[in-house]
Amino acid sequence: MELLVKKAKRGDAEAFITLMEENKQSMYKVARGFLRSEEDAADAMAETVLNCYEKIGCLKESAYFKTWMIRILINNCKDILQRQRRQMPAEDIPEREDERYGDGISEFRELIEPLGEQDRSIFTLYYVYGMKVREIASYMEMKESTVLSRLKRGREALRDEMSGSYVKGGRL
Amino acid sequence: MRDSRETYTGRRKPSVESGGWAYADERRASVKNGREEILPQVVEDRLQEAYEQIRRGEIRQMNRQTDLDMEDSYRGRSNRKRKMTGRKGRGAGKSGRSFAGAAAVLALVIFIPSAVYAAVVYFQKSEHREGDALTYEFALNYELTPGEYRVKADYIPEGFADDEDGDGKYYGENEEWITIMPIYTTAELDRINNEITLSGIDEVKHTELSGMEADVVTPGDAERNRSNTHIFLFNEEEGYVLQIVAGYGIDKKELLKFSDSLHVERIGDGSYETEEEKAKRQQEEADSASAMLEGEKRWDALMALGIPEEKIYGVGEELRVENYDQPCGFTVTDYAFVDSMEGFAEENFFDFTRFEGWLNGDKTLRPYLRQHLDKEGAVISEEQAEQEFLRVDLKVHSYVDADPDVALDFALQYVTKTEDGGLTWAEDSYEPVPSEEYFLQMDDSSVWFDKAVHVNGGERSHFFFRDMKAGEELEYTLLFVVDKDREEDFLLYPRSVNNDLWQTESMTAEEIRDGLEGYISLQK
Repeated sequence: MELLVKKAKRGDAEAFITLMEENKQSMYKVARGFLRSEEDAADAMAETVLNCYEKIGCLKESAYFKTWMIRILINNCKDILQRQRRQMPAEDIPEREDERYGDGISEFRELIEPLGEQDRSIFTLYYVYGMKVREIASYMEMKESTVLSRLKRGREALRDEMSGSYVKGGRL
Repeated sequence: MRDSRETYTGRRKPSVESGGWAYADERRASVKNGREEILPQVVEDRLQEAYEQIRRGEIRQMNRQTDLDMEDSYRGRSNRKRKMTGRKGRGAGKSGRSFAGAAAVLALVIFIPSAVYAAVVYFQKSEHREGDALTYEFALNYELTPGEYRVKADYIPEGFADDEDGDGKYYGENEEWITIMPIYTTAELDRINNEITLSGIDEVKHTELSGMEADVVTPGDAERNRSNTHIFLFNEEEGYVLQIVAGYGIDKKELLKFSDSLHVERIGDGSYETEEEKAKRQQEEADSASAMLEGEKRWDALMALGIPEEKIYGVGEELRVENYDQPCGFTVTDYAFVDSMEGFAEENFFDFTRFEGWLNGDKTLRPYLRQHLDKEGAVISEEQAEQEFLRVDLKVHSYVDADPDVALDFALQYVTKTEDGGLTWAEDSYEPVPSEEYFLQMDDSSVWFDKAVHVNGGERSHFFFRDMKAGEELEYTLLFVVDKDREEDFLLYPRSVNNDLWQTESMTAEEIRDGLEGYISLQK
């Protein structure tokens, strides 16, 4: 990946696109951790692709390309959320089901609704998209311990409701 | 639920598959490894749109002028430990020239009676050569509507595939490539301040190709630097400039034959930026430049502060990574510089293919041609560098109650002495000459790890990670490749720490220094 990053920094558009193709699954997981609809995730990802291409020259450490890119993505996701919040109540935001996961994801989102926005994102990234605590901490610029404690606190808060498969299938 | 992802493997859109060239093998490997999954169509479509914008040259990289210039800048910036001052300095100079050029063009546009050329040409080109830099300036005829164009080549070199997607890209069998990208319309020329500047060039040959005035541009030291070849075709009557870029290694005659077989079709009208759009873009560019400048000032301040003595640990001392509430402690227990990799299993190399061609029969390393670059990226000297392996024996201790997932790899941090005898980060750098095609010391990372568990398929990206049990202690060994004459020029640090070093755009020098987790010195 680092060679691709270096080539991309030289202005090699195809190297950059290859990088994005290599990372698009991770991007999608993160975007869906924040955003309810596929369309919004698509918008955030496309915007991130363009932002990263514009700014890759500013990336000093090739090895941290993915972390850098995901942070840009998260900012774009947050921008979309803020715009939506200004435009309509959260409950009115259209949701399109993620077909890959069937109905479960909707139920899960409903289940974690009482949590704060950041905790909902952490829960979704961890339980739905199987990201590691280290990855979540890196992407969200948090300490791993913070992610762990938020997961722990959130689980306790949801203990009564979360008796289904999600926690049983989890790693904590 | 996580496991359900594994069923979505092995398929992707044909357009994506056909979009790559040099990395096709990587993509195939990726598919083989089962890492490919299906994304919703709306996501794929939006990504493709973004890629197309990039391919069409609609999205510009900050401070990027031309590929030629980037090759120069890249060489200067490729050392991750150096700041970007040199690049910035050049950029600032270019920027000033750019505005001066734009002003001159503006004057030209005002004083040339529009009727004289409006009916004839879309632009008039002039060029200026200064040292190894060449600038094309364009006086645009704003009375004509910018066009949008499609280009097709009649002649395609043997072994190259046709441009099925029509995106101006042609791929050879052995990773050769030719692109016709971007197509500078008059709208695009207006957006880039009416000029194109190339630097680092050796020769410009004026000729005619496909019935158009053409320049074949050869970079300096093209062979040594594995540089691309650039050809510009100018069509003042139809209103576009084509830039053909071909990767190193393509036969020049074939490239010229290709470039002489182009058909350009106008497929629609474009438009100039409105004043509002232009002002918004310029403001964004100014904001970005300002942020980068501030970051560079902070970098200079950080370099002056240096690495605090108390954050440099010795052999046998534990570097405890304190920034997590679940800390781990790393201790270098022993080390040795060794000539040969004899006794170090091939399967424990992260990527042994990189060593192909670099090992002698006795498993010692061949020397390579090395450049010493100053902090601006200018070449100071060049010499053969003898190489060796550095074996580092480590111990990591988990201090947490939970079972952490720990990154165990280390990297080398090259340093230099300050006037007061302390250490600071080295801003000069040593790089292989590009023609060496040498990747053994890439990013100064460890190349070998004897306790790897994530070794198969996509897991290999976690090669240096291991799950540890609460309170567990693990001994392991890493290998690095180093230059024999630089044995005392570096510190070691766990790859997962000291990340704030690069956050000069958001943190002060003092904040970064105070937040450093630490380094390990083999000399202490």
